Amino acid sequence: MVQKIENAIVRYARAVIKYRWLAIGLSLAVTIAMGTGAQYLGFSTNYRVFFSKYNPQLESFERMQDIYTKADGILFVLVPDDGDALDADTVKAAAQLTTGGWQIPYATRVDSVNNFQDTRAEGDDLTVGDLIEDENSDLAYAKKKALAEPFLNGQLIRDTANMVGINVTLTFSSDDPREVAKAVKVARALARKVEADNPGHRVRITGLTMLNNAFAESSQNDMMTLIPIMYGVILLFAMITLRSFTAVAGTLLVIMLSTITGMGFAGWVGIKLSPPSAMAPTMIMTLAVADSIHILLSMLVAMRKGMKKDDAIVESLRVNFGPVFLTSLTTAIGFLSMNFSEAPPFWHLGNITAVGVAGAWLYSILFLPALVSILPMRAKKESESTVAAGLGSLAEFVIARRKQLLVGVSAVAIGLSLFIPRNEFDDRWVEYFDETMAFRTDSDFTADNLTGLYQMQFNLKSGEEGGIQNPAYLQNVQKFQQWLESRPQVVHVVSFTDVMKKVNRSMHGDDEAYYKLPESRNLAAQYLLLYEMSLPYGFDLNNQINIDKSATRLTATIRDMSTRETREFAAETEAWLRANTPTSMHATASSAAVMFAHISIRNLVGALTGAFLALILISGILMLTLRSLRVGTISLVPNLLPALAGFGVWGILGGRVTMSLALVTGMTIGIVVDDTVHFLAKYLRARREQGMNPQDAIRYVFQTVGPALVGTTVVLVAGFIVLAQSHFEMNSSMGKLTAITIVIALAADLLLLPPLLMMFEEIWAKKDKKKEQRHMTKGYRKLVDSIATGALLLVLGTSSVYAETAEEKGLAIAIEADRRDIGFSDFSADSLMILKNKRGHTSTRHTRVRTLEVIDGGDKTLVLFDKPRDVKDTKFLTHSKMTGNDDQWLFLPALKRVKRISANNKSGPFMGSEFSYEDISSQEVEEYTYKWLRDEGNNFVIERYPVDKKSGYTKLVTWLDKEHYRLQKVQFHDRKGDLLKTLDYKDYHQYLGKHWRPNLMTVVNHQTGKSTDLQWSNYQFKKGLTARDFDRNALKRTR
Amino acid sequence: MNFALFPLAILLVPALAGASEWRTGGLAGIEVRGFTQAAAFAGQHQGSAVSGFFEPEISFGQDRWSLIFRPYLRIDQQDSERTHFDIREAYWETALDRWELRIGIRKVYWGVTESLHLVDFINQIDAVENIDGEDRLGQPMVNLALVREYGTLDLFALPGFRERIFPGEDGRLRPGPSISEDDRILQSGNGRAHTDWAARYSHSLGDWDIGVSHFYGLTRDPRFIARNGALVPVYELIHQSSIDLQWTVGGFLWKFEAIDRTGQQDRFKALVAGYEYTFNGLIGVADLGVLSEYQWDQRGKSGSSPADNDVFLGARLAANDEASSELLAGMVQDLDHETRFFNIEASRRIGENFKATLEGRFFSAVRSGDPTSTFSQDDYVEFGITRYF
Repeated sequence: MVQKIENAIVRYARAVIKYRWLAIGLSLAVTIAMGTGAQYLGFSTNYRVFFSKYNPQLESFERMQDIYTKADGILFVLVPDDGDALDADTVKAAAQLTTGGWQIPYATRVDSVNNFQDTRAEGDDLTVGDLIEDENSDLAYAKKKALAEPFLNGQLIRDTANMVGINVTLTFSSDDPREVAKAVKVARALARKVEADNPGHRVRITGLTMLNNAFAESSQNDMMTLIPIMYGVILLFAMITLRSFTAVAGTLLVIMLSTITGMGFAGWVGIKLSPPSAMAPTMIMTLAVADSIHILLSMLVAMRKGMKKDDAIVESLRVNFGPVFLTSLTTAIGFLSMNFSEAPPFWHLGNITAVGVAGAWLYSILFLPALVSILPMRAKKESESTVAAGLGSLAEFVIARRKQLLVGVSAVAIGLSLFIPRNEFDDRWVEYFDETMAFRTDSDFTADNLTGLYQMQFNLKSGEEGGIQNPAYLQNVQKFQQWLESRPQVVHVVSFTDVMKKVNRSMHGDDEAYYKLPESRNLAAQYLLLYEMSLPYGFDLNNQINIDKSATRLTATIRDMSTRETREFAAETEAWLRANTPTSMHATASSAAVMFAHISIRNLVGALTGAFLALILISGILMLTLRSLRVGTISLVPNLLPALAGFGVWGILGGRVTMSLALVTGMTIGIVVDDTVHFLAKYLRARREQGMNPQDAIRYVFQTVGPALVGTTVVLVAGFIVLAQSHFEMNSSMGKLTAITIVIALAADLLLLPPLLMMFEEIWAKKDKKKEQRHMTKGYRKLVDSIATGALLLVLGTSSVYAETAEEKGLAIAIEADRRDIGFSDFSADSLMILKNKRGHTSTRHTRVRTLEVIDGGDKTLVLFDKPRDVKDTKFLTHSKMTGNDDQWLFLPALKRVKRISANNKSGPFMGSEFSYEDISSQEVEEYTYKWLRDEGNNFVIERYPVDKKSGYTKLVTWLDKEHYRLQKVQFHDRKGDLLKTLDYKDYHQYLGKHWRPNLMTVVNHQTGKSTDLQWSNYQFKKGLTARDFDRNALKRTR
Repeated sequence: MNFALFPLAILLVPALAGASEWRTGGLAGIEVRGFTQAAAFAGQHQGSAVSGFFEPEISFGQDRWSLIFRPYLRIDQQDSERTHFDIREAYWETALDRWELRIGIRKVYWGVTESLHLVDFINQIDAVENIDGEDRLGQPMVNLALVREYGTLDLFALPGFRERIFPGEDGRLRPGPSISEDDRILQSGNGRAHTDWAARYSHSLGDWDIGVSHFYGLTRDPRFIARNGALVPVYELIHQSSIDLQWTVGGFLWKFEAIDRTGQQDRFKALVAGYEYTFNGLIGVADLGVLSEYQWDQRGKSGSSPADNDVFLGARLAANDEASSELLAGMVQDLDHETRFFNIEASRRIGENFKATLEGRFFSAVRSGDPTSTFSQDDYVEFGITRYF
């Protein structure tokens, strides 16, 4: 099988060299076909990209956005150097920003202290007008009003009045990212102009639109700065390791084509890049380089040994084709596990990178060999590497100190893992951007000095049309507002009641005593009408009340707090509403802040599911390719441990976890498994093919793959450190944590995996020794034609003759009995059971039994039920194990269901008869210990003691005839040691000149008086049954 | 295997089979279902309902290939919709060393859990037979199973969609508004002629049994929209990925099933997980199994599945006597409110060819709005006698 595959690879490699121009053409065709998709690439400029359309918080927020005016916007903060924001020069600058704000594309509303709609009473009339007409207005009056006005104070001005805010609400016509860019461009120009026209003033810009823009700018920044750095790193690395111009050029071309393929794919499927997915090219480059390096290094080594270039290429492909495919596959699986995330940008990152990795694999085995076969290439003589020498002494250290290392490294890993709980999710979007970005500093400044950036909005319904004029409703809203204002988390609350109170006061000659809600519904309705009629364009109340006046929006600005606190506070507000207001008002808190507060947790669940599936898939693949369940299981340790320890280190380093970090686990499993694959594959090859002992095999692994492991780790860590330079926290922390995890993985592979392997090898060796005994007996058939047979028989013969103790003699008899039945291959027979109860009433059972002999393992038995008819077509399959529990399956015909059942039932009755499951199952020598009692006429009498505690018996006194070693009689003693049953074997016939089978087995239960006769007929041997007749699929067959 | 020889092989296999034989069998039975409460909805029958069924089986073949035909007929005294005929199985199968091929109408079972069958999705539920979802309608299919050392890969092409059959106006155990099966909506362009596809990988690895499946096609599990006072079933084109795991260790069977479905409104996941532990020889030779499973559905209370956040507790007593007496009792408790469902099933063989069965299902404290609430007046006890041929 392995040989076949290798031959195919060699044929393939020769073909690639022969048709090298075609191979290059084909590769480039793939690149062009994929790469042309890149023209459709674009950058997303909306924070909503982080939420899938199924996100419940997004849904709730969008619903609110549909009812009221959208709240996205730009907030200018005007900061005068003189600290007085309401003096003439600052008022002028604010006026400039206010009017300029209207010029920003898509602006639908501008709110400032200047244009605040001041309500005054003039006689019976209500006058509504700008608070500050121009710098000549009564500024003292304006200041008094502004600071007393709940809408302004805490939002656009503070008690200190040292700065003012100008908020521009924008309503974009589509999701086209260019609209945001256009608005931001005008806004920035306006800010610069105001600063230039008004010396001594600074304008800072923040708001959700700026956030959206920052996402796009940060993506572009990352791509423009990080990718060139990455090329530099790879160039350096390739030059050091390969030291060949052609090889370096080939490597760079492969990563370039892979990146183009991945990004082209993104374009074709219409992905809009966001900061996380903008990491994809850097990631592809980091991961792609390993494939090329492995192939080129092997080739150079072969050339140094004197091979011709083309032969070296073929040899390199032969050796590397499998591992490169496998590591690409596991890496792709790791990245594809990101699709379980909650946030679409990570789906994109995972999918683009997976396609890029697949591309890297294709180009490494198709384009690269063809290219190096065309270009000239020489292998320089290699000097003794210091890395290899260092690894040699490391190997000796690891072997000598394995016990200390096992304990020490495990202790460190567990110790680190203890810090995992220190990590806390925090997805405050402002902090996604580092302090080199103006958006971050401006936003921080605003949050510290003027107002909070995070909001919670509530859609409070009255339950009836026009119900917002109902005094009871207004009272409830006011109660909620007052409660919110009393909470330490809240900076500012805007609600519709402020408007009502203001109008009421104005209608009573600005008497402060009337700054309260109107007492009747009619009055409220009148006020509302009056107020709305006197508002100028752009100041309607649509941002606070809905069209049929049945609901109002209440907006609370909250302090800067962690996402967990945000989530808890949102829940608290919702609980308050439920406890204190009528059902119609039970609103949920929604806003961008609430959305980000929930996504971490939702994302974590998805990410862990993905990581778990990736782990299962990858471990499965590993077990299959390594063809060893044991070693595959051990491989879990160095694959899982780095993720755990990595998060522990992260916890020590501060533990701020953004949602991207949840995805590191799945991703790194796919990456770090590569080292493990190379390590274990080489280790098993040394053990299996070269017959080395575990210690030598570990020395061999350190020497052969050690340098490559260190090398690839260096390039991976370098790549992810480059990513850590991103100005976007999700990306930089992902880069950092991944780099940490990969370093830990290398340490685990070098320091923990070898001691683990050595320890388990010792345990397995002990286990296998037990098996050896078995091998000696059942392995007989394999040796049947060899001289060894004679020797074996001699050994067995003498052992039974000269056996000294009763135990040894008992065992020897059992082994001989077993040996005499070896080689039946398979047999089938029909059975008829006749069950008799105490009163002599009988019932019958018809089954057919098929058994397959398995030389080195337990036999397999399939029982097909025919009667009673209600169990017809039920099937019972047992795979016996020499040690440990058997595997058993039952097929239930009515449901067509195959059910794995517990083998614990071995003491239970079979089909209600006096035979238990253990009586009818294949009995292996190892399942008992033995003692010879006496010889009784023509019979040996031995006692068998079940090893398995679940057996229903403590002792089986067994009679075997001396001539043919056939079972004649068995007395079963139950768990209390009392005699339970006697089984007699009668009417033996010999088949194929060798195998004896009874035609009748009679069992009598001495404790119940019941008995069962088991009649056998239609024995057939060597029917040619195979394992396929004893697998789970066979259970489902009709016959 | 050369695929050019494939048709030849199909022809040759039966011809080479000398030892082919005919086998016939089947079962027939009579059941009396007594409802303990007055009907909840107008039109539903009161009291008891007598029904009978007949399920003969005929097959031809031998070890590695066979033909089988198994039709099914039920006649119900009260509910004309429950009187129905179905071909449960009619197919040809052959098993070679590395693959198995089955063509025709079949029933396929996937999954490991007892209280809920999430992963089992190939065959449509025969909803008029029983509400436990274990009776299924025959599904036309071509099923190629690739049997390898690393597991079995089953590929299914499923031409011909089977709609769910619901109880009629007279029937109990139905929703209040009648279900308008004639107006049913199929999202496929070509209606019932749509071909669905599925693939499943399954393997036993040591103590683990694993299955990973994917289904693409018309959902077996419709949602309903209200139209003209009736409920119209909507069958959408869905993708469903699923995984089922069983870990058999000691006397424990640890079970896990999970699905992820897209295409039927919002994408959602659901799972059922739990264990089964058997005490062997508890009283004499009798075995007592205890079962506990947790059921979860992401759609929550708004979804059509009652198993959204529920716990199933059950016990199975197998007497291991000559008559194979068995008793299964279980309860499903909704963790969000007091809705509770009790179930009891017992059976015992009488003589060689008869079997008596008893089944009881009771709905307790069902909260309105829960999908089972329409059954709240439909507690019943059923007694049946089955004759096996």
